[in-house]
Amino acid sequence: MDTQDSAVYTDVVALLQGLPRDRAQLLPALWRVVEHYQALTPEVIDAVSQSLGVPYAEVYGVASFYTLFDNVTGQTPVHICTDVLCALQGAQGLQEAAEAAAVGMPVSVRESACLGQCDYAPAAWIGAHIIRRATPEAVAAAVKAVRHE
Amino acid sequence: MNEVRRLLPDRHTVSHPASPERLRERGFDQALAKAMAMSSEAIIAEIIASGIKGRGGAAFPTGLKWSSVNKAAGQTKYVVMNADESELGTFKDRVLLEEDPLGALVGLLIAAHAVGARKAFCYIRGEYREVEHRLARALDILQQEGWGGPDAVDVEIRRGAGAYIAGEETALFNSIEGKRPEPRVKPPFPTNKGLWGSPTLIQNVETLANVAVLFAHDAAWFTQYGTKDTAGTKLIALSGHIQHPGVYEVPFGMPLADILHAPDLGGSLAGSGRLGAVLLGGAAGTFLSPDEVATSRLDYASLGAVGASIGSGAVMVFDDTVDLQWVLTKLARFFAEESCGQCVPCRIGTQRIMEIAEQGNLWTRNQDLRALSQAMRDASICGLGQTAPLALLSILDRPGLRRDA
Amino acid sequence: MGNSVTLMIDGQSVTVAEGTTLRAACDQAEHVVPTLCWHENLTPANACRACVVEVKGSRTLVASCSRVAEDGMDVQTASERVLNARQVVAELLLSVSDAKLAPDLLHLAEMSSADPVRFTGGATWAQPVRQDNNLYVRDLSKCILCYRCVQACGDDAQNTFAIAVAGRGFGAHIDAGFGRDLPESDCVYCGNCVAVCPTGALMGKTEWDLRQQGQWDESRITQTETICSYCGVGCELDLHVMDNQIVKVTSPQDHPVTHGMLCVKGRYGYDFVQSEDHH
Repeated sequence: MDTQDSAVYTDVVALLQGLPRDRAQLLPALWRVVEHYQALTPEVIDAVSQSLGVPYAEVYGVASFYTLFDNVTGQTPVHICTDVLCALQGAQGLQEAAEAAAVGMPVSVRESACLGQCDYAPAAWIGAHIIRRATPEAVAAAVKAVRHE
Repeated sequence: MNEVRRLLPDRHTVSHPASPERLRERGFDQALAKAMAMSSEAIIAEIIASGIKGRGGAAFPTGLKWSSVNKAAGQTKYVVMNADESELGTFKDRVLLEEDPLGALVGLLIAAHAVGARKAFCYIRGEYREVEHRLARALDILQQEGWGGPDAVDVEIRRGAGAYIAGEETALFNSIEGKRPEPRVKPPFPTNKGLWGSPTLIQNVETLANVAVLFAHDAAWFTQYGTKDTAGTKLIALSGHIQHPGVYEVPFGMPLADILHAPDLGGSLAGSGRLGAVLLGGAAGTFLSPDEVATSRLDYASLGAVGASIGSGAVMVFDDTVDLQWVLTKLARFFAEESCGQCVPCRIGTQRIMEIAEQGNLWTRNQDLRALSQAMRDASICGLGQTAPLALLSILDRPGLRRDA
Repeated sequence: MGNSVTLMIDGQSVTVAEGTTLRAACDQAEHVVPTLCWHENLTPANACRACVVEVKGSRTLVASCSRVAEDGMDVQTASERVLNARQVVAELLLSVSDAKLAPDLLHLAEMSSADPVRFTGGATWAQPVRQDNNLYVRDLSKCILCYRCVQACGDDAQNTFAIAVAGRGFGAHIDAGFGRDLPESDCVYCGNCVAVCPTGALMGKTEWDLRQQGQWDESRITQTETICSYCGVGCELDLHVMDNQIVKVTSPQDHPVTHGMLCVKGRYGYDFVQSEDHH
């Protein structure tokens, strides 16, 4: 393949600098590229595969297991916990507020399993921050604050 | 006062959770100095004397596990802190690491010393980014204080990426190794063949924090709380229709009713104010009726008598307006989404239970569900598939809990 | 002679060599346990759970394909729990996958008195057939996710790693990466995945086409042994011949060189042998 000449390959090599060429570094490597690209495209997977010496199908097999790597749109994920305890505390309203605020924004709203914030239900997770005892207003504001790339 | 503060720092603690001052205020510097001067055998003897059991859910005697890893053949050994808690209603490790990250790390260093490991991992769920930062800072503090470095154990933090099953110990090893986090068949057990086939000691965050406070004191102090069978305290994650949701540390043996109602604990019911049921132990836990809650204590024997277990310490409280079929449907979806897909009973079984629940047929397909659940319990590879039907079975066994009954 | 262990299988004392699996020990005792994902030349995947047996003292049933026999074990191959597990495994698979060409699964269903419709009505594995190359066809509606193809492609035989399990839960599936076609993957067309597939989900193109045309007829197929002449390794080939045409090439599982595995030339080179303009 001629991917070794591509811009993505060059970028991925730079992103993975300092990581040993070792299968055990696959998860940290995937995190680095996800934080940079958001979406794991075939080109990115191929570059990771070549950088670490792990077969392409296996890199994809590992990456496709984890929900936090599942982001085909490349947009900032907005995780609304809709699990039992948050649902009892009004997660439905959060989801609706997030979806309304998301129109025209570079975000994708998704239902999340338990975020482990049940003592502060309902909870949402946007960007680097967990919103505890979230209100529809707080979630909408956080969605609106996501930067356009 | 019903609450105990041991694993959680007491409320007068003033230092920052990840600071050299905290290390000293909690006596962890002395715990480390004491343990590092002890032989493996002496450390393990102290753990055995304390009676600590694993706090991740399985309640395996910790000293026995350390002894197995210590005696296992092999030059290379690993220790792992399992901070991947991802089960519904379970957040005790999050709170523990937020409030006192040094404790679990000190326990991890003592564990590494005791079994002769030079490499340690902390595996933390990817959703806990802020906690991960605090853990990393605490690790820096330990290194600055001279407990890390080239001659000591190398500790690496690994971030999960959204997979409940990666908290299963052998799946966690596969995740660290860069493979799909599918559980491995046991035996061999991790104590003999864990990470990269080497003997590996893997412990829950709370278990390691217990080790730290034990060595900051001694076994006699440690056993002042708890029951004859289970020494010490347990972190309880209290959520749902309760006045004060949160994580509380209580002695083993405490009545469940006290956990719900004591002013310094749950502080009484919220919602309708009338108890419907308690889901004890997590998504794979047991629904208890109000009567069972009133008569049970937080210990393995008392809960075993009503077919329940403490699990990870999740206590989810539902008032009498909650339709438990709705809760079961949510639980079923959780397991179907989190199944790794490796074995047939779990891959297809969790899917079918979810579908039957979503169709509203949980009560009418009793016989099929029991056969399916039994096969999942008997024939699934790992604990996820084996325990996924437990909450459902607990309601099939307690028809009085059904709102429509 | 190595050490031996003695265990009880359905109340009968059996002595086997140390390291023998429970499955093999049950075979020896002629209390054969059913298997689906197990294959004599592949590492046990432990995935199907059809081979579970009850071992006294064990909380759960154990997969006999990988569990090694120990002295004093007390094994039941037909206890109530074992029979229920087998039946449910068969019923679950039948509710998902097309078992028409899966003799082991059909056998399991029959021996366990499985009710083929008990768990139907939900999601299935039905999906379009993939024909993206000239040598083999993927009809993944028949896949039971036994992992055999992945292992044959990987370090159990071929070391190509062109396919892996991807996704998870009910969505777990065999994938060359992003669902891409085989010609875009690392596949070298050795066909070893096809050789180990127990359900017909992977099938040589010749067989596929003949079946589509209604021409495939096992009773008219004869097998001829030969040695592959493409190189000097000496792989034994079984040529499956129907109406004077080679329709499939396999190699014996017990052959010391191949263990049933071949390369693209041995397995699919027959087109070349048969091509009319070949001199």
